[in-house]
Amino acid sequence: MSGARGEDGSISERVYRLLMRAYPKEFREMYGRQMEQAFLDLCREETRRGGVGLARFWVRVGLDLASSAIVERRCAEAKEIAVKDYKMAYRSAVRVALATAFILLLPLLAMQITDEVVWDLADFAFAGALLFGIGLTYELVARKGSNIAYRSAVGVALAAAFILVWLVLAVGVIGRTGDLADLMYIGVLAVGIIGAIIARFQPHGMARALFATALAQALVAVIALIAGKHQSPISSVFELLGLDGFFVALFLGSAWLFRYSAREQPPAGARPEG
Amino acid sequence: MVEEGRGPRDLLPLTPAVLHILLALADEERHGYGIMREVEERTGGETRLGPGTLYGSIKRMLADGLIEESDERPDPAMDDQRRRYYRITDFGRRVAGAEAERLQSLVSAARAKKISFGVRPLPGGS
Repeated sequence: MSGARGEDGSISERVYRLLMRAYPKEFREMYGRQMEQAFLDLCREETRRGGVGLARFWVRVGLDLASSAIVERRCAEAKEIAVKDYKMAYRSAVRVALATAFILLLPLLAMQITDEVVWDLADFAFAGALLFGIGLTYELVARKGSNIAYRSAVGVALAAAFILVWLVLAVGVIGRTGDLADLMYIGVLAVGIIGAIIARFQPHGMARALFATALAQALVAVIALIAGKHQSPISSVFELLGLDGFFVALFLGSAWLFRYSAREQPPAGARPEG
Repeated sequence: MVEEGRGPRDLLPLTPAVLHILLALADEERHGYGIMREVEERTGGETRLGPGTLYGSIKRMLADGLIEESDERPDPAMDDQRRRYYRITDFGRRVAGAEAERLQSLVSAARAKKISFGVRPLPGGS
């Protein structure tokens, strides 16, 4: 009987070792030997007890193995996705940094051949930070959509935001450069950013967020007109309506593209590619 | 892997397996099978950890800094070299304490709501 028990232990060991393939390789490499040892100890104990104990033991071990293997596989998959996402984000950051450096070369070269372009270090630093920020945001957000409409919508929205920030800081939109009324555009961008976060970048919600942004942009024009800012020689009614109308059109265009994207894919489809 | 500035309560609630492992290691260092035996004996056979659940939990507890591997072997002559011993960390002890406190307040709430405890009558209860 003891020989049979020993044989049982050996067969059990081999079967358990085979079943352990259900665990991810990394987990097996870390804990496989210890698990085998613990299994053998348990197995010996149950074999000593005899009766139906061994059968019951196998049912228990089988359930434990199945449930824990699922958990470990999920953990391994989540880790794999996190590593993949990190690598993709790193590659995106490098790509955007290179593109930013290339774009900044243009004003640098222009400064060598004409006196019309005069940028100091702060200008380069600001332009670099803005371009890098917008580019990286595009890379990270556009990846959440699986169709061209979504990526185009992100591109149009970010381009509008970029031009708006550039205009406000470079020459000002309302009144003279540095007019405090321009601070209202921070509110416009905040509406878009908060809306996008609430929408969790899903196309349906993004369409609503961009529509709200367009509305906020139009509201700024209305407030500026009510406040009499059009009486300034720098910003006429035509200029105010023209510039704000241009941004309203961009934000509305982006909203329409997001809506189109939502029709092309179900809301749950807005997941990373690859 | 262990995050800095994390308090014991940040890890609550613990899974039953993790709390049992912490309790098993509270008084002495043990290897995997030793933990399984202690849990089974302490719970009167009601809880039996399988190797998969045990080592899956150990992996996460090591990452969370609740336990650590021990270099010392309590009885090397009697022991298989393949066995690894684990011991509870100070942080693990505080987490176990916080979890016990949480469970105690839950039990107090149940008592206050006159929830009966299994087949045994409450002391002084009807």
